[in-house]
Amino acid sequence: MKPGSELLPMLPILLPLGTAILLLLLRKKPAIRNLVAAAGALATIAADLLVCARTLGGEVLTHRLGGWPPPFGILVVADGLNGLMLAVSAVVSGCALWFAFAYVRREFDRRVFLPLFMFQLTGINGAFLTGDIFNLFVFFEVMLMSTYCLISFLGEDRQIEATFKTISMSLVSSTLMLTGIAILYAMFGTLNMAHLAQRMAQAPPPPGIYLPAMLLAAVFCLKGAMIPLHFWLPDAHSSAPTPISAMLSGLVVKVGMYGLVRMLTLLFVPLRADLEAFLGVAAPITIVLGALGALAQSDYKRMLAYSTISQIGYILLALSFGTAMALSAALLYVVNHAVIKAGLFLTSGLFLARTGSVELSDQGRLLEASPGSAAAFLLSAMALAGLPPTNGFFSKFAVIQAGLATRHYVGTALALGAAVITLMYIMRAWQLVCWAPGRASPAPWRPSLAQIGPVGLLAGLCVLLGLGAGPLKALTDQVGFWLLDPSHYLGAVPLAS
Amino acid sequence: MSLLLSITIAVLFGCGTYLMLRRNIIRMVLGLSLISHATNLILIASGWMRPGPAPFIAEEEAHHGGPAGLQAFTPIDPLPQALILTAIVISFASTAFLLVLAYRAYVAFGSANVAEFRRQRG
Repeated sequence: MKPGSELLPMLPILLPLGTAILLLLLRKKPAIRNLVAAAGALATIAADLLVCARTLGGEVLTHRLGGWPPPFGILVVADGLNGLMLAVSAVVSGCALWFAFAYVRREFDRRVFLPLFMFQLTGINGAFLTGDIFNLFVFFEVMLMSTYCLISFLGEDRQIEATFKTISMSLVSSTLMLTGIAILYAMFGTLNMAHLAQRMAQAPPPPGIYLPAMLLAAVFCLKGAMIPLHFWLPDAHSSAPTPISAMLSGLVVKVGMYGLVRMLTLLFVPLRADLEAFLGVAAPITIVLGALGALAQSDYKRMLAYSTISQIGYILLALSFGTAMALSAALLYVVNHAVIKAGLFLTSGLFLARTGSVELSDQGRLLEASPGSAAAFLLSAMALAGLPPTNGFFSKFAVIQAGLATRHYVGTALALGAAVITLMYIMRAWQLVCWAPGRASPAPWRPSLAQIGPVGLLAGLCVLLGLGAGPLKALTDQVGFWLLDPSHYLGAVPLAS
Repeated sequence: MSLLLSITIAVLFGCGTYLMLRRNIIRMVLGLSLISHATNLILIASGWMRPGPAPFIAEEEAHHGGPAGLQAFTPIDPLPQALILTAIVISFASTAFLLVLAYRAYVAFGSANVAEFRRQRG
């Protein structure tokens, strides 16, 4: 087969897109529509995992859209990093959609929800896979537009408010991104990421290069909610419908992290030291303030949203260290945090179904009422707090080890201190929900399979990835090594000129 | 010409930012669309600033400086104009959604003042 003609790397984009369009056409036929949604999601997951398996084996898959050669046409590229992100996307989106079948009950809501969910997945997978920086902007917009609709489609006041904050922030960040892309194009005359990297490496970059670099870094940090660009996140993630909260905290913020990794290792390699210094200052502040914010919340979902900010700080901190070991730690953290936080957000859906509220003071005695849910919650909570044998322990350990190895003692100490605060807030939440004689009745409560299934699956994954931390770390080590060796990515992109 | 273009972009960005900082929701929407227009102008400029050979001319024609009639011009890069079309469509859709949302917010909160949209704190 000719290089670049293989369809596989396009499938994680095409399958959800096709499913979304089919769902729009079938919106008035409930039975067949649900079947199509499930089949489309399963096919997407299969494609994600297939790409992941191939790329982690060392291949770099490319597909030329319309057969145009790279610097002129749009190229879809999947290397090890993309494979890892697609695996995360498969797990989180699969569980979120499964849970959504229990959460989005009303016929009309489901008619709106299912296609939007698939469009969002299209945008996320597209942003992960594209090798063209303007195309990245377009997929960001696809993802964001469906995100606005998904946050607000139930029409509650607080959702309207959260959407308003999110959309005004996102539109400004889109503008910044487009400006950055325009300046990059004016400087280098290309939009293909590999081509950009090549041209930047050829000559010493002009001094103006800092402008697009800072604009794009600001955009990705805004998407990843680095403090002080975090203000929109707690509202959006806490008031969105539960499965969407899991998607937002599990996947959408990771798109920002993915963008940063690509910037550091491919697009702006000459500026790496400066960008790392910038992240090295912002990351510890994000970790500590996010954790303190989470400690102050009485609403469970809002607490998790602040916790996301804090955990994103750990990923940024690992990225700021700059070694292959630190890069591997950051990737491990991305994977593990997605599994943990998606699971925790889905447990909030269990609380909502049981007590009709996500306020911590309205919960209580879950351990008596439903020991299974309490156990799943405990595993995810332990993982967030970083207790062995769950995966959260190993990712925190990897970040701190990388920090000590590169002698970033201040950042590492703050990260360790914030880990104690994390333990405090998540264990307080577990006690209030499961033990405390709160307002909820201790009468036995049985969640349906679509409610407990995804929660249990994600909690089980927390333990499984913890027990299998060695092989997983070996994989992220390998991906980190590939990322720092530009020829792995660039070698797979044959540029015409 | 490039001075004029940069002044226009600066004025658009300035006015857009000023409007975005107002409390009235409609002014915010207008500010956002002004800013997106400014960005489109930057995109125009990015193609127009670096004139090069005309794209898609057969090699022998390019050798003689392109088809007759084209020789009088310095062709500009057409790619940014294609990008702007995409950007305009996206900002059109976003603005439309934002206007609907602004109306819903007005109904929900009984005010067009953004300072009133504050149910969530902390």
